[in-house]
Amino acid sequence: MLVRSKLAVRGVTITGGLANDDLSDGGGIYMDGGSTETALTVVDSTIRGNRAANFLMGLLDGDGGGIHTGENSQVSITGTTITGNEASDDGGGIENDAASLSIVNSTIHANTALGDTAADPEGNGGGIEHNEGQLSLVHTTITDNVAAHRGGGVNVEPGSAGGPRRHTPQHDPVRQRGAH
Amino acid sequence: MAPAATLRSTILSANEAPTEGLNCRVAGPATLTSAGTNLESGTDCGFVAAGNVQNANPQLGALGNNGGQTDTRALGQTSPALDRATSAPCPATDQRGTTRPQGPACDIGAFERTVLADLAVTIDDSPDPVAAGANLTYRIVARNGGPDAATGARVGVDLPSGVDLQTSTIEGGGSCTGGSTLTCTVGSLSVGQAREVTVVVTTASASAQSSGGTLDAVATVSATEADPIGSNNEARAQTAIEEDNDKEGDDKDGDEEPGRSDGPDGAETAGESGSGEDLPFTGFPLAMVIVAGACMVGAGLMLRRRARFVD
Repeated sequence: MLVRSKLAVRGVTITGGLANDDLSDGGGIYMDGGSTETALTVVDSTIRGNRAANFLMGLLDGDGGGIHTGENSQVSITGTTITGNEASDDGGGIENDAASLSIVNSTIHANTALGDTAADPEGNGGGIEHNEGQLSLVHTTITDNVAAHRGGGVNVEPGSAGGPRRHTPQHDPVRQRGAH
Repeated sequence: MAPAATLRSTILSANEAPTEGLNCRVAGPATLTSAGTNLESGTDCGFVAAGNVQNANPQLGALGNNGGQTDTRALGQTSPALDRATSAPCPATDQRGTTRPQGPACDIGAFERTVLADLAVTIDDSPDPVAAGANLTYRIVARNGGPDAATGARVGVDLPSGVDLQTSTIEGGGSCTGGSTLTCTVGSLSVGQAREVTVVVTTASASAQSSGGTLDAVATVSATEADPIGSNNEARAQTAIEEDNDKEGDDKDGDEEPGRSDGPDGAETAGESGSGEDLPFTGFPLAMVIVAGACMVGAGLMLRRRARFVD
C-alpha cells in the first residue's frame, strides 16, 4: 500500500504484501514522504506477514517489512498488532525515516531484520528501526523481534547529525522514480 | 536534530540481536529516553530510573485472540508488569478495548490483565420439610474460586412469599438489609475463601398456606471483579411444607383408629398421602368375608353329612 498524502485505516488487516522492485521498502505500507501534510493513521488493525525484499541482486535493500514511514510525515499507530513481517535489511516491523511516529497500545512481535543484502549485510532494528525524527512508544509491547545485527527490539541510529545517511528516500535515485 | 525515542509504560522482552542491544540499541547523539515505568527483560535499554523494571520476565502468553479486534499477548497472573504503570495517566483502554486500570493501577504494555474472581454460591434449607408456622433456616455460602481476590462481594437472597424474616447474620460480622429481598455485604474474599450468611424466617401459619406446597428461595452472589463462570452465581432452595394431619376430614381429633398404621408417630413425608392409608380398610372386610364364607361352606358340608347319616 502506497501512501502519498493522507491515509487512515481502522480495523483492517494488511498481510502478504511484498516490496521487491525498485521501491523495495515497506512491505505492508510505504509512505512517500517529504511533507508534513503526509499522514498515516492506523487503528485497531493488523500488519502481518509482509516483506520488504531486496532487489537487483541485493543492490537495493528492503527496509520496513511492515511499514516504512515517510520523511517529515505524521504517523499514529494505535491498538494495532505488527507481527511476522520481514525486512531484508533494517526495520523488520517498522522503518521510521524522519517521521513523527507515535505508537500507543500496540504489539510489535516476532518481526525480523534479516540483513541479507549485498548493499547492507547488517540488519538492524528487528522491531523498529528509528533513523530520524521523533519516536514515541506508550503502552506498547515489543517482543521476540530479531535483528541480524543490532537492536533486536528498537534500534535508534545516530541520524544525519552523526554522519552521512546511508540510505534515505531522497538520496536514492532509483526510488525517486516513484514506480508505485 | 538527532533522532529521539521516548518510551513510557512499554515492554521490551526477549528480542534478539547478536552484535549489540538485544532489546534496545541507541547510537549517539541520538537518544532513547524513559518517560517512566517501562519494563525490559535485560538492561541494554538503560531503564535505570525509579519506577522502571529491569531484568524481568513479563510472563507473556503467546500472541493470540484475547478479545478485541487484534491479537495480543496476555500478561500472566504474577507478571511484574501488573499494576506498575504509574508514571502518567494511562489510556482509557488497553489494545483490546478493556478498561484501564484493572486493579489499583494500569499494567505496563499493551495488555491490561482482567482481574477475574469466580464467585459461587450455595444454599441449604433446614428443616425440609418444614411445619407451617415453624422456623426455617437458610445457610448460604459464598466462595471465591479465583484466580484473583474478590472485593465488594455481595450475596442477595430472594425470600419466599409469605415468610417472616427473623434474623440474618453474616459470618465475620454484620447483617443483611432489605425485606423480602435481602442484600448481604460479604466484602473481600481471598482466593479459596468462603463466607456464610445465615437467614432465619418463620413460615406462615397453616391457615395461611396450602399444605403440600413449597417455599422457594434464591441466593445470588456478585463482586466488583469480572466473573468468568456465571452458571454458579445463583442457587435455589425448595422447601416442602409439611402436611397438616388436622386438615384430614375423617380424623379430626388426631386419634388413630384400631388397625390403622400411618407411620411411627403419625408423621408423613412429602408425597405420601392418599392411597396408602386405605389398605387396612380394604383388607379387613375381605378377610372377614373369606372367613365367613369358609365357615358357611364347612357348616354346609357338616349338614349334608349329617343328613346322609340320618337317611
